[in-house]
Amino acid sequence: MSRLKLDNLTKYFGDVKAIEGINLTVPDEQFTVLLGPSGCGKSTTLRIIAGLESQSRGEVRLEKKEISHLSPSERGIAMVFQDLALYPHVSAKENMSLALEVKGYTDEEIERLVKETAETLGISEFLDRKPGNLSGGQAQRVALGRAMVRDPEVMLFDEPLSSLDAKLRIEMRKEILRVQKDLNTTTVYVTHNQEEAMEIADKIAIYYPYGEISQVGSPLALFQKPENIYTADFFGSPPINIVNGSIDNKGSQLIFEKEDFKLDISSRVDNQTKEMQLGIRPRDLAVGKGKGDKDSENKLTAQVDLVRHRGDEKLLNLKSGKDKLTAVVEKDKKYSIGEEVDLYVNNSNTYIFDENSGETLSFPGNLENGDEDER
Amino acid sequence: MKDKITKFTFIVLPFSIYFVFFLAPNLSIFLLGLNEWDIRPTFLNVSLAPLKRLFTDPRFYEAIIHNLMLVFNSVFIQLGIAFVIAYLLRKPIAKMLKTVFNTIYFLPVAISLVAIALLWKWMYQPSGLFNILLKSIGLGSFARPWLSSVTTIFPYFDTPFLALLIGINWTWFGMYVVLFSAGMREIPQKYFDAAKIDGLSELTKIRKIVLPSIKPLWFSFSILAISGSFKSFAFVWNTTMGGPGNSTSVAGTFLYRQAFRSLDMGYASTIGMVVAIIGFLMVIISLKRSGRLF
Repeated sequence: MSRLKLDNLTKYFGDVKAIEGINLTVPDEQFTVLLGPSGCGKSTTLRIIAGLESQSRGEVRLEKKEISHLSPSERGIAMVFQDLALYPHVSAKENMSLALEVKGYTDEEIERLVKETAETLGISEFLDRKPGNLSGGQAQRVALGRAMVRDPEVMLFDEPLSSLDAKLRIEMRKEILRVQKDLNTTTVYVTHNQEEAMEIADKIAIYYPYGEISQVGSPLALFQKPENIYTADFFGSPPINIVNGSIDNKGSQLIFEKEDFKLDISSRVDNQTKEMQLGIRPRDLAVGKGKGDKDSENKLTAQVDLVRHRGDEKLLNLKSGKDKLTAVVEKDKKYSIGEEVDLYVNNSNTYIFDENSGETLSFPGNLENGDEDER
Repeated sequence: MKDKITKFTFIVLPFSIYFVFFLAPNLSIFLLGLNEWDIRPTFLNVSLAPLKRLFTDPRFYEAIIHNLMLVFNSVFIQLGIAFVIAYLLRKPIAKMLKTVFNTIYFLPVAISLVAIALLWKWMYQPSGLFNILLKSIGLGSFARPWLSSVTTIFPYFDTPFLALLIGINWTWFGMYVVLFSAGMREIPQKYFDAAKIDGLSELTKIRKIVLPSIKPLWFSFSILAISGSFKSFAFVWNTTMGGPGNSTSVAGTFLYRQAFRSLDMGYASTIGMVVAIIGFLMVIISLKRSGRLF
């Protein structure tokens, strides 16, 4: 039973706003990720949960109790820091055991707990080394061990993998996820990497750059049903394409127009006065060689601007008027820079956004309403 | 031609000055110290007799022991106090006033040592500040002429010497507070954050994080402190002149007395030579312990 809850959390550093009105319930025994660009206040949120910073307003509740007045060590939390912050002058073992000594465990208990944790993480051989003599991955495991060994109610991670190389990062990502699933510890994890968040999270809270939450939900929900253009743009690699156009209000019909391209959206959107943008995931853009069927209205014309290889597929960077689009094509299809191509758009694959508020007006048609995917 | 002028100005001239006023006199000590010198200096009559005289002189041992106590005091007590204060200055409450504190602590370093010595001499006088304070808090029975009445605390350690130590520590600890503070600023905040999460006690934090980080600095400061202790003359001479008796004598005052009171220049040279060697050895030992030598 932990039930961590943030209630209207707000923090100002002097006059500078870090976060404002953060409301979040962290589900028990699950992996929650705070996601956002750097400087968006996600780490500040984490540090307030940990008790390393104090909030200007709002509450941090654990088991329905306000814990803001408690010192970090009394909160039953453990934290893995961005640059690990392993104590540099003591051995890996002591890094893990110091907190236990303070808590008054006996020497045998400490010995046993450290040994068990070390075995789980595969660091038994390195326990006598000092952090300076550990490799990146080993140090990461020791830092994880230092947090785990205390059997905390809530584990906090502050971008712990940002200093590792790509391969090791993926390795450690799996490791952290495995440990979390084994122990079922309530976890809050901060990252700016949407792929990482997607992979490990049960629940994601995505932050605007100005310290407010844009949307909270499962990874799939955020990917499929983003509530606004900001969230839509944050998820997916390559990111979603945004097509700017105008709305033609022909009597009963509502048509999204961009040059020759026309899309009938009358069944999807009812408010006729708004300016809208179309969102299409790169994988939903079908690319055809130019001069195809000339009569089709569901096609955008574009020039190839760049061809990027990804091994099993190719990315095309395209220019269509002022819009810059990306499409994914098969690896053996050949395109040259400057070539004219047709992009076929399936109405049921598109998102429609309100251009002024950024709000999502319509999701792709194949998504049933209320389809909340859980891991 | 221009090249020659440059070489002369930047190498020959400075070295000549250095040689005439520093190197030659210092090296000649080693010759003078092994000669028996009456009215005029002799250089050729080298013998071990002056050394024998020195090593059988109880006043010499008393002075050197006092010097060693000064070394111990500055390396452990003075630096220890400075370390603790520098650590406390990290605390949020103290942080606001840190500049003020640091200025106050550093002030003695900027004041002439003679002035400080006179200040302490007055404070220790029978009607000085200390006795006034003692009387005002009802401890008048402890009031005494601090620098002239001798009570032995343990061998070679009398009350006047204790009084001097307090003054000396007051004079110098501030410099080390400032230096330690600078050193502690270099310890990344993340370790203290981690310690907070782990709930480490202040003592554990000091033992496991701060002290190990500061250790190289402590060794460096030890060398300053050791050489400083062997050079301590101004403070002692301007307060007690090494007295009463030899209860506060240090190598510096002992040497000065022989040279300029007894006018026994040869013997003074011998003292200077031996003290220089002892000081040198102590610095070597300290360097070796810090692992920066051999």
